[in-house]
Amino acid sequence: MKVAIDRRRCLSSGYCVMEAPAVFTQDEEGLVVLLDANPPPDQHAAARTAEIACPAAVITVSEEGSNGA
Amino acid sequence: MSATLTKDVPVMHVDLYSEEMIADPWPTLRRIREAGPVVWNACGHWMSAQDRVCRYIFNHPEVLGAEPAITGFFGREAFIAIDDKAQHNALRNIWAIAFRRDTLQPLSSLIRQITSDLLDPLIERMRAGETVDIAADVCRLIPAFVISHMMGVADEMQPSVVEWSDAMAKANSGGFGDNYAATPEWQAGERAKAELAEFLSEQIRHRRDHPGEDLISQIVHAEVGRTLSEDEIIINTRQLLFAGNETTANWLAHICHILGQRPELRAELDGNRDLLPAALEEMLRWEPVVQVMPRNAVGRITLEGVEMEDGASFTMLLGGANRDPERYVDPEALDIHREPRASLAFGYGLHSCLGVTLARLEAVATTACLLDKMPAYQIAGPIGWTGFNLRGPSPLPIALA
Repeated sequence: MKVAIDRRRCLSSGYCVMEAPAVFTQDEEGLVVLLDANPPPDQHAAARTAEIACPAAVITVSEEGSNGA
Repeated sequence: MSATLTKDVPVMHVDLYSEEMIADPWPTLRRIREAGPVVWNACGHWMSAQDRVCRYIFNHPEVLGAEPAITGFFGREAFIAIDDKAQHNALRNIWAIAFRRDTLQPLSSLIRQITSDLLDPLIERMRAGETVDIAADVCRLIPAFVISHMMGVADEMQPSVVEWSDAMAKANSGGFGDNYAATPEWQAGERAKAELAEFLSEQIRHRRDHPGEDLISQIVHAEVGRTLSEDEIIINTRQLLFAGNETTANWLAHICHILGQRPELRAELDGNRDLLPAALEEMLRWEPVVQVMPRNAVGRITLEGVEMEDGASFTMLLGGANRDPERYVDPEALDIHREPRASLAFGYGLHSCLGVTLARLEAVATTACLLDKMPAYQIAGPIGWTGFNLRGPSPLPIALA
């Protein structure tokens, strides 16, 4: 799994951190910071939830390789 | 409230609610922004029209809080835009899933259908030579339909929903001075609030025994919902209905206004629908609906080197921030191809808009339908404005070009 973010459009809502605190955090200005662009399988579900929960739609999660499920 | 001014603080005297300001706030917002990061308004409050300062304030509710700045009208248990404390997230989470992209997507075709049903008779009248008010006859009705639908409110109640919500918006349009509570607008707003509360109370009671998928059922039956009093549920549900109504209605009206003035832009969007999301977002940066966001100092604070006393009123001027050259290249220009950056139109941080995804969905679906059906049109007469706090063109008279 590969996670990407677009910080320019981040609204600093904090939804991603609530859903997947091991994958995302916020800097002191509240902007999203990616902690792990290739999260381990036990974080995949949380990362996907963060993707759809983000009100600014700035998180993209894509599958990579066959072991990414 | 008096303020002991540090000697370098710029002072201006701006009536944010004058007719001139409401009709064209941009030159004044620019002067405020250029005067400094924090400006004392001799009307009795601090203000800022700079993006960086407003972003900082949104991010630091422990410095400048939303309570009690907004509580007066909506009630202090209301979580949208107000509650800065722990319960905010618990309350927001009740509806967070309902406002997610995946949940909302099915609404898109419904919104196009509603828009189409509203546009058909309007276009017929326009073809007959009539000048119509698209703000009242289309823009105003779409969000009322959508939020009523999501809350499980019966179709025949929608005219009342519009009426209550508009009366509440008028009461909050600002500029009434210290005796605001004596004005007819405020009293009509209070009446609307009471009627809506009574209606919601019936709805809530019904949902207790007949749970559905709607937003009212969701709060009534949520784990945190069970710890809430009926009053708290009413206050939050009422605010949700209000928030889902007035903001989007004005965004849609701004879009119709801009497209009516710029046929070349309309032609470009017509030719490439993929441009719509970014273009509508840029229109909202350029003409944001929420112009004013109030805050109060929490204790004695220092902001940008300026000392403010406990409880001091602070006004964030979001339209000014959205045209800040420190953040945007050529900020006074409407440029749908500019680098995408989040403006403050949906707020920022803890109180960033819960309904942002729904608002965007409504804007894109409605505009797509408008482009499909509406022949070339132009602005056909003097337009009015709803007010400054929640600003949009209304009435917006249009006629076929």
